Amino acid sequence: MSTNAESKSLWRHAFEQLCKDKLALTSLIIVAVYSLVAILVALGVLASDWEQSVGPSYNPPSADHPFGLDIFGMSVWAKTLKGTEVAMSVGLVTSLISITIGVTLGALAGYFGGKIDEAIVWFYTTFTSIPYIMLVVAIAFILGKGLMTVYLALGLTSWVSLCRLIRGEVMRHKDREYVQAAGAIGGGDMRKLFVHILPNVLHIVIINFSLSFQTAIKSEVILSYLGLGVQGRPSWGIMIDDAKLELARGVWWQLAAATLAMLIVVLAFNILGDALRDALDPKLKGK
Amino acid sequence: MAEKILEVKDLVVEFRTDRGRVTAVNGVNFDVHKGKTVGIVGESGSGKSVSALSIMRLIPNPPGEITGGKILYRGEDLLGKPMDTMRAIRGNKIAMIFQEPMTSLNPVFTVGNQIEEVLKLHQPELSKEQRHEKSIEQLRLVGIPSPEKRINEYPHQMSGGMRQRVMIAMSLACEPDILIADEPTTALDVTIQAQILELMKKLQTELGMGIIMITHDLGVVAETCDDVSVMYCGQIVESADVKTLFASPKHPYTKGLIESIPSFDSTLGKTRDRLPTIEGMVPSLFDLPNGCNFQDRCKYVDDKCRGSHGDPQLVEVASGHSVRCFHPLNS
Repeated sequence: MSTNAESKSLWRHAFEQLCKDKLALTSLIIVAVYSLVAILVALGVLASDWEQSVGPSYNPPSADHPFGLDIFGMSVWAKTLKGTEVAMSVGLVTSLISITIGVTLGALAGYFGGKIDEAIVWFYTTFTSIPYIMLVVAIAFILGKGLMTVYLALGLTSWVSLCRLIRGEVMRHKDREYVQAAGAIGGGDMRKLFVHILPNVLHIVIINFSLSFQTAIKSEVILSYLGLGVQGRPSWGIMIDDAKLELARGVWWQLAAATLAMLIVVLAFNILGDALRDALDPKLKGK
Repeated sequence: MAEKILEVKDLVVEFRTDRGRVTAVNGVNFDVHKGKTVGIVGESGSGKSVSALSIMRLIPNPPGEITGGKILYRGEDLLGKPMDTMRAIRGNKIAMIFQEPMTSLNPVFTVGNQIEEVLKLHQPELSKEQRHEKSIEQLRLVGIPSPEKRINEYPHQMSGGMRQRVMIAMSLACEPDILIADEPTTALDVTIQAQILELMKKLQTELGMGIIMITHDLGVVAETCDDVSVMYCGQIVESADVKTLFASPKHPYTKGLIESIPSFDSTLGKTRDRLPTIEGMVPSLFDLPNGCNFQDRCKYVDDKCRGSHGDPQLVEVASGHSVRCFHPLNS
């Protein structure tokens, strides 16, 4: 490492590392495309006419409608795009909720230790002892069906693993000399924790983000399939649910479209998460 | 005599452990004067770093606790101060540099960022540009070439000596009265060590701060200190000005330390003698003997030292020269 080289932050270094990996770069582009589609759908630019009947019921894939039509003659392509909006927003909001809870509790537990740590550890061990799907179902029943329920149910149940990781990492960092030095220049506890330690464990949050994002997408599909998900608008889960009855009649295109859309984005996130870990984890550097 | 800015009086620091309480620092006294350097020498575990951290009130509590004594900074006792007053003093009036320049800078921020943080905490009236200017100035002060460029670099792009210079720049950003240097050169190689010590001396004459130099290296003491206290098992066993201490050590431990410095021009090489060492081990702080703590390693030991007359006290044997020994050496 030459000292004359231009200063590179850890993040820029990691980004460049990521771009060298073709597979990771492809995944990153796929995720970007999905996000763009979701934003355009949300703004009404794309698939705003998904509710319109554009042809006969169960019309198979054709040149006009490459993904075919559903029972009401709606375009499966438009529904898939609309479903992308739901999937991406669930992934994003859920991850943000779980990261906020996980990082805050984990950081406090790891940094302060003692009674605070015991209380937080007790809380999450008790919490994880409840089967996850039951908890999600319970929350969904309490809050009623809808998108907000999906956000909260998934967000509130997926923070524990991140919380554990952050707790451990903060414990490792809190006695480091740079934290002591931050105290010696007059920094308080909150400053030491959130200004000095947190940026040093942020890579874990980012890796976790990419993994929890795709878990949330999958979970939304499961919830919708169970009838606890979004209502009154298409989502991939609802499309797969609809396919239960359609398959017997040989209508496979709705199932295929939803599954394919999900498969691609989940796979992309998985590869991206792996690549991020390689790029950000110093222990795997230079391999 | 220069103005006295810090007075440590009968400092006692205890640690609660699974095996009971240990007294890591037991009744330590020393003064820091403006523009002077006081050295605290001792082996690992003798309590020198704990004493230094106590001045900043940075002893992790639990397990550590300051259970006695006073730390008077310009006449005011720091031990009674509330935490936010202490935070305003740390880095501002009393600053500290650490042993490991490799790990005491935050790896994810640029060095400029870290110097600016000190200014942000203690001189909030400065604008962003002023802070940046001042940080460059600080880097220049500690002799970092092309500071305008270096300020945007990350710690991993610098060598150990450079990083220690950055640490010094950081600690001196607010022009503190007192600089605590906890083994500032231990992790550096000898040539860099000399440069850093030289730099600290130069900055001391420019800025006039008092330095507390904590080290186990008597060479560093001889080079930089005005007064020295030698610590053993949490107590000061001898304290004197540096010339007196090296010329006529009164405590057998001090004498042993000085004799065990390898020397080029002594008769050692000619007579093929082995380098003198201090026999034995430091006693465990959990299990200190009655009487003198040094008794098991001392060749002058007798019943008095084994506790028949109680523990030895620090006694002034000459003006400014105190020793904790029943049989101070005549040299």
